[in-house]
Order: sequence, then C-alpha cells, then structure tokens
Amino acid sequence: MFAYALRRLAFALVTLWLATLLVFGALLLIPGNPAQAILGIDATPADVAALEHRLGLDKPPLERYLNWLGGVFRGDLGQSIRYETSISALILARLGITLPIVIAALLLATLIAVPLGILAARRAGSWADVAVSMGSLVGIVLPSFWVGLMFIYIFIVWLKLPLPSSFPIGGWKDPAKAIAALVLPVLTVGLASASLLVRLVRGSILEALHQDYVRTARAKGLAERVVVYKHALRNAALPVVTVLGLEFAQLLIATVVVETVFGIPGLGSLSLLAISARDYPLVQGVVLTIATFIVLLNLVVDLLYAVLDPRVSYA
Amino acid sequence: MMKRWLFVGLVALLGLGLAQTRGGTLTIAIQTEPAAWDPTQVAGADISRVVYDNVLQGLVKRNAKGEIVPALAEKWTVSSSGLTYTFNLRRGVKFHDGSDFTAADVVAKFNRARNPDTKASGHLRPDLYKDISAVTAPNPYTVTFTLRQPNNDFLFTLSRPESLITPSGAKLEDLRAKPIGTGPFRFAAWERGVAVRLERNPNYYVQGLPYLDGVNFRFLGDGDAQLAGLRAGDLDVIAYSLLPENAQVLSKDNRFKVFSGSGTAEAVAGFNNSRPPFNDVRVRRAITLATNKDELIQGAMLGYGTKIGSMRSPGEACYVDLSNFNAYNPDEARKLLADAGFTAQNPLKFTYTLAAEFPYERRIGEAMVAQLNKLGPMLQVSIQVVDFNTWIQRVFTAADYAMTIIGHVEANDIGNWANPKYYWRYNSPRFQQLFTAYLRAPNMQKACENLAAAQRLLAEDAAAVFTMSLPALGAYRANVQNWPGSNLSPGINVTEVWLQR
Repeated sequence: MFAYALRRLAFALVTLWLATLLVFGALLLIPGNPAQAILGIDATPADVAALEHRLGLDKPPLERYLNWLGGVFRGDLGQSIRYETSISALILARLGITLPIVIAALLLATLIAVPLGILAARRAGSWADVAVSMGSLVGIVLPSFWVGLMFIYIFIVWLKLPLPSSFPIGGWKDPAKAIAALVLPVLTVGLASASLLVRLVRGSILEALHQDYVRTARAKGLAERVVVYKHALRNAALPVVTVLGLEFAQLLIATVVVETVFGIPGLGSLSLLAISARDYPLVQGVVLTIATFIVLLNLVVDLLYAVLDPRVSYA
Repeated sequence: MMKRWLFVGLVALLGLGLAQTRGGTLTIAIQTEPAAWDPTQVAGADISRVVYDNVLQGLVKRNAKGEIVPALAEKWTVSSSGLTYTFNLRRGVKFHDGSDFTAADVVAKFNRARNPDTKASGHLRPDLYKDISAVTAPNPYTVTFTLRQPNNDFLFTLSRPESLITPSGAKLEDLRAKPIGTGPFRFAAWERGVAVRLERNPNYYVQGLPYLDGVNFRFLGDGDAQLAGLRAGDLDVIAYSLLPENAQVLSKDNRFKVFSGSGTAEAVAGFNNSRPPFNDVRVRRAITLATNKDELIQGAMLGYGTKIGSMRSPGEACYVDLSNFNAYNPDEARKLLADAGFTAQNPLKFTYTLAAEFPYERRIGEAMVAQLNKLGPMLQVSIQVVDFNTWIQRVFTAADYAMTIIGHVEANDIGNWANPKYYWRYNSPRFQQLFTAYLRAPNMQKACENLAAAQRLLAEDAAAVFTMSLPALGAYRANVQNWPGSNLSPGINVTEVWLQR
C-alpha cells in the first residue's frame, strides 16, 4: 500500500510538471500582450516597453519559465503580472471562498441524489422514478447562469430574504454575511451536481440490484432494507465516489459561471482573469493548484476503493 | 433693508446646507478592475473614474461640465507669449500621509513626467510634457512652467489623470497599490477581485466636505449581476455601462433613478486606412453612407447615445456638429462601391473585428454589420469576435485588421489621428498640419478654427465611421442625492454626493 502510494506520488509530480509546461506553451501560442492590456489604448509603445521591462516580460520565455519553475521548487509561485502581488496569497484567498462552495454543494448534491437515486431505482418505472428523472433532466438542461439569476429574483427580489446578491466587501471579516452570500451559489451548483449524480446513483443501484449476490441475499431471506443499503449501495458506491472526486476537481474551475452571476471572487473568476489578462505565472499557479487537487483526489478515490471493496488491494 | 435680506439669504443657505445629511457609505458598481491605481504609472479609464479628484488631485481639474477649473492651484496666469504659466498653490494642504503639499512636490512631479526615459521615471506619456523646458518654484507656493513653444492643450494636459500629484517622497510601487493624494477621500483598501474602499479624509481643505463617510467601488463586469445588486440593495449606484434594456426596466421603478448624461466616449468604427480596401476614400465613404446611425442608436442602444460625425463629443470645447455629414444613403453607397470596382460578381469582402468585453461596442458593431450586409451582394461583411487581449495584439498593436469598433473614452483625443502609427494608420499631412496649428495658435479662437477644420477633414475623408457618443448611462437608488449624471470629467466625483435617510 505504501509503495503504491509512493509510486503514484512520483507519477503525479511528473504529471504536474507536464501540465505547467503545456499551459506555458499554450499561453505563448495565443495572441496577447499583458503589458499592453494593462496600459490600454492611450499608451505609447515606449510606455509598453517600460512596463514590460519592469515586469520582466522582456526576458526570453524559456528564462521566465525556468525562473518560475525554480520558484515553485522553493515553494514560491511568484508574482502576478496583473496584480503585482504574491500568487500563493491570491490563490489561497480564492480557495477560501471556492472550497466552501464546492464542498457544501457536493454535500448537498449527495444528500439529495443518494436517497432520490435509491428511491428511483427501487421503484424503477413508477411515477416517482419518472419524476426524479424528469427533475434531473431539467436540472441538467437549465444553464447555471440562468438558474442563478432566477434564484436571485425569486429569493432576494421577490421573497426579500436577507441574502446578499454578491460576496460582501470585506469578505470573511463578516462571516454571517459571507455565508449568507454563499447560500444561493451553493444551491445553484449543488442542484446541478445533484441532477447528474442522481442518474448515476439510480443506474448503479439498479445494476447492483440485478446482480447474483443480491438475488442470493434476497433468497436467504434478508430484509429488503438490508439488501439495498448493505449490499447494493456499497457496491454501487464505487462509480459514485469516482464521479464525486472528478466533479470536485472540475467544480473548482466550473464555478466560474456562478461566480460571475453572484459576484464571487473565487478561483474560477481568478483563472478567467488570469487568462484574459495573459497573466502567465498566475495561470500556471492556478493550473498547478487544480492539477494538484485532481491528483490528490484521484489518490484518495483509489484508496477509498480499497475501503469500499475488500477485493481491491494495492499490496 | 439690505442687511435683512442678506440675513434671510444666509439662513436659507444654511438651511440648504443642513439638508445635506453627512455620513453613510455609498457602494458604486464599476465594470472592470484596473491593474493598479496610480494613473501616472498605469493607464485606464477605471483608474481615473475612482481616483480622479476623489483621492488624487492636480493643479487644475475638469469638472462634470468638462471645464478646466482650479484644484490644487488657486489661480494661474499665462504670459502674453503663451510660454510662461505661473500657478499660485493652495496653502495648508496636506497629503493623506500627513506630509505638506508644496511647490517642491509639483516640481518633482513634472520633472518626472517630462523625463523621456520612461523606464527610469516610471511615468507614462512623457510625450505629453515635452513642450516643458523648465519647472521651477520661486517660493513654496508658486510654480512656474516655461514652455519651448506655445501649446493650447497645456492646461488640458495638466487636467489629465497623468498630471495628478502624489507626494515627492512616496515610493512608486506603494502608490500603485495605495495611491496617496490630497483629495476628499483617502484610499483605504483594495480587495483584489472585489472592490476598493475609500474613506473620508478628515483633513480635507474644503470645510464640510465630503458628505459621505466612505465610498466602495465594487467591480462587477456582468450587467445582470449589477442589476440584481442594485435591486437587492447591495449596490447604490451603477456608475456607467448600464445595459439599455436594464435602463428601461429601472426607469419604470420609482425606487431608482436612471441617468443618461453626455460623456466623451466616441464609439469609433475604425478602418485600417493603410491597406486595401480602406486606403480608398470611396470605399470608406461608401461604408459610412451605408451606416444608419439613427437606427444604430434606436436599435442597438434603445435611444441612448448621441449621433456624431467626427472624433469629438458634444460638450467638448471647439465641437463642430457634423452628425449629418455623409448621412445614411444606401444608393450613393452602392454607386461609390461600383466606382471602386466592386460588383455582385466581385464583391467587397472583409472581416469586422469585435472585442468581446465591451457590451456597447459589441452590439453596435453587430448591428452595423447587419446594416452593411443589407446593401446587396456587392458587400459581404463577416464578424470576428475576439477577447480584448487578442484585440490589443492584432488590431491595436499590429494593425492586422480591416475594420473594428471601440469606444475612445479619453476627452480631447482627436490628436490620435495626427499619429500615423496609431492603429487606424491614418496618415494625412493636412490633418497633422491642422492639429499642430491648433496647438500653436496664438489664441483660443484661432485654435478652435483649426480644430474645427481638423474635425471636418476627418469627416470628409471618412477616416472612420464615427457612430455615436456613448451615453454615460447608469442608475442609482432614489436616496442618493447630488449624483453627477452628465460626466465630462475623467472621474466619478462623489465629493458632494450625499445619502438621504
């Protein structure tokens, strides 16, 4: 188990390095100039050259990349071109907003999707199953920017609930207000994830319920409750856990749409800014952070397999 | 009797003064977040909107009507030769860091500004200050500028955001993140990605001002998020770029006031004048004649916007109304295209490049392309939407484009047409001569005559399609008082804004 984890870790480091190389190359290929974008259309070429000099953008790309990589090994993600401030601090601040959204949304999605998925699977073909399927279809089809805006109108403008329409100025200094500002985003993201997840839970349970071991369990006279929750659910959990892990990593960036609607300064909007500003080191910092999450989550999911399914072993 | 009236007048004035309640914090939505806040080091309209005359001040300033009025200079005199400007500074003014504002700060600032070595000075646009041959301080409250040649834009240059004054001892990198000035508000904090917070300067030199305790400028790029914020009460003001359809919605609701003032942003649909097909004046004129500006204003902007015909907005000095010059005439446009050799078999095809981030320009550009394509099979225009950074690289820097549209927000920016390397690649010796004649004219009347001729020349040359002066379109909650609706100043000045309780 330990050797396996170590091997996976070494492999992960190489993956991460390749990811940064790929991103750096891609950014060199797309047109754009961070210095000119900062200065706008009233600056002269001399102004742009001076700013490029100050930001170190006049150095060759390879040198800039190696400098950045050297910094990473020393635990320093460098300075943002756009903000001229520490990238690590920027990313940490944004994670402090996006992580709670993602975790709460996935928790909500699980709480909704698992019971509803089981219900739909147990009564496959019934009106309850059809209702769950229809509901999940609606949840998948409706774009989150629209759902988010509708939530604002329904909950804030019409029902006048004391929820802010955007993340408060001052952020977590006012925890109650900050949490209130995250309620609707979590609801928007959570319902969308639940819509996907419920289909998966339903499918997995349904498949498990047709397995031989379930028939055996039923044949030996176990209560249906025990059959479903102890035998079927545990086996159906494998694909669900995998998807949850992937969904987590994806949501770190995919919240960008919801962040835009709700004016939330999260990791998604930071990556959007970094790309549109051609803030090369910031893009790399964000990619490295998210890639690290993906790698770690994959590892966790793999290890969870062993817990969920005793037949899996990494010895 | 006289005394009695004076007394009544005084009481009335006092009453008016008392009506303005002090205190409260105003939250204003702006569209983009600049990279830094010192306009001498980084350019951008949103920097000026926040700091100009709120945080940082110059010798003179442009007020909401666009007039140049005293700021840190109480008064000034110009020698008859037009070569010497003497400014008398306000006394007893302190910077937000507690240091005194004196002539030494002004001298240091303008010596830095005119240093042609931008890398060393860290100051943008030394070209604006190259006519200054010396800046001296005969005493701590007098500053004298000596010019190499007369320059009718000199006071305007001093009113530009680049001419705002910071303490001579302050470090440049500190000023980028936290500018220090003499204005009614101090820069309190910059929450990156969220907002900047300004707080009242308790030592402001005008007694009783400002009224507000603080001002937040919230960065919200999405028009619908701005609308939601205003309706939910998280925002007090949407300062500009309110979407026309949202303006219509808000104007029906008496909890909000919609304002549509004049501004200085011309939506210029620019040609690449240096290469085919737009190096041919007939083609440029044809495109101008095929553009129905009234329909653009009504259709794309729901009536918000002012028709123009050259690179100047009504309300700016020396403005000439050319809005009906080369007016919509599709028959004439077809004739001109035929003259230039384009037919249904050999159509004029080109790409119209739009920057995705600018909502007004994008919808005006899309509507304009639809108009052009209605001319007939001899004209085929396609749209390409790119992000602003790509636009900057391809269109602005490399001039690798046929036609585009963007708002030129800066006031008095007609001089860009005298620069043949600017992205329009418009190289007209006649225009350059007229613009120089404007700058060097012995008096304002002569200067304006030259500037009028320059505006006319751009229209006759159809150097671009000057579609409209974009509106300063925004909205605020009804309890916000004294909001400067029309704004010909670079700043969103909140000094005299107050909140009714």
